[in-house]
Amino acid sequence: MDDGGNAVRGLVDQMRGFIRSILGLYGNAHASVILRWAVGLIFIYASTDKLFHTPAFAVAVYNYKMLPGGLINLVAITLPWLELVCGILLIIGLFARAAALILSLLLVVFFFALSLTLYRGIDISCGCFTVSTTADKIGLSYMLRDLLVLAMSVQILCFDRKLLSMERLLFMGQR
Amino acid sequence: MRVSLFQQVIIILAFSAGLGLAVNTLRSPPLPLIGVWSYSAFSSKVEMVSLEDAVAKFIYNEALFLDARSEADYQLGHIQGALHLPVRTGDFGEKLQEFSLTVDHEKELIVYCDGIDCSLGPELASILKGLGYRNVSVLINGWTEWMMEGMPFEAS
Repeated sequence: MDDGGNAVRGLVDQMRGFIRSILGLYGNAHASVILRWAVGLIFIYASTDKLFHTPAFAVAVYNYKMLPGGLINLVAITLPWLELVCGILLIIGLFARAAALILSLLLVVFFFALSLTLYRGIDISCGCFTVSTTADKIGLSYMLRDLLVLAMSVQILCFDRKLLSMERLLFMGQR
Repeated sequence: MRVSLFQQVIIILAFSAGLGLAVNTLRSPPLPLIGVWSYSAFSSKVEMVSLEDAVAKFIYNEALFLDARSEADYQLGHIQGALHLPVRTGDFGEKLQEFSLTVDHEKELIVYCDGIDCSLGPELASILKGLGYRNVSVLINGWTEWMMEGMPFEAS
């Protein structure tokens, strides 16, 4: 019995150590730099097709059947630019935490939009990276992907210390 | 000068929105900021056109006809000169993009599909209205009506 108890205790300790090391890595300022570049590239990539195909992106937004009709074009016109600007800011490291905050909020909105679409059984393509209607239809994998990028974005928001950033260069003499 | 996180957020939002609006004004034609979108295909915002009026506009070349049916149906036969904008198919986005860059918002458009209950035409009309096309109307049961009237058609 004691041997069994010790084995369980050992396993629990190992699990704790693993979770601590993961959390330690998650809270690491150097990890923030890599995540800034990764999230930045993801959103720059996500914005390009929408930037060049605004009418088709408006139709993708319309297909979700969530926004009031009067707001669809405004979102189609401005959202891709917001994604692009935030992506660039993350990569160069200027206002990175603010950009991460905006993207985190957007990802939360996207998550609810995807969830509601799945719940309502509307068979549409995501419009996340491409406006093509031949793209895969919305599924659970899209929500998991959204949550993953959200976790990355929140890490930047919480733990970015302006390493390798333009902000540090610009405001170095003002401390 | 220190800029708070909240101020940074406002700056980014304002800059991005300004950029988007500026680029949109350079588009030809620009997307209207407030679109007249309707989620109901058969809403009051979608106007209908009678067969007689559609025929008259065809004869006097006053309107551009748009076929909302599938690729196969369009290939088999469509109203002479009609463009193909197949809602709910793979290349709709690409075709819509090309269409929006070449056709003026003031152009008179008549959309059709086939069958009294067919919603593809009204759906396409609704989308075009949302994108800023002012003169869009639907010819209900368009393809069948057109053929029964013995009007010109072509096959691809």
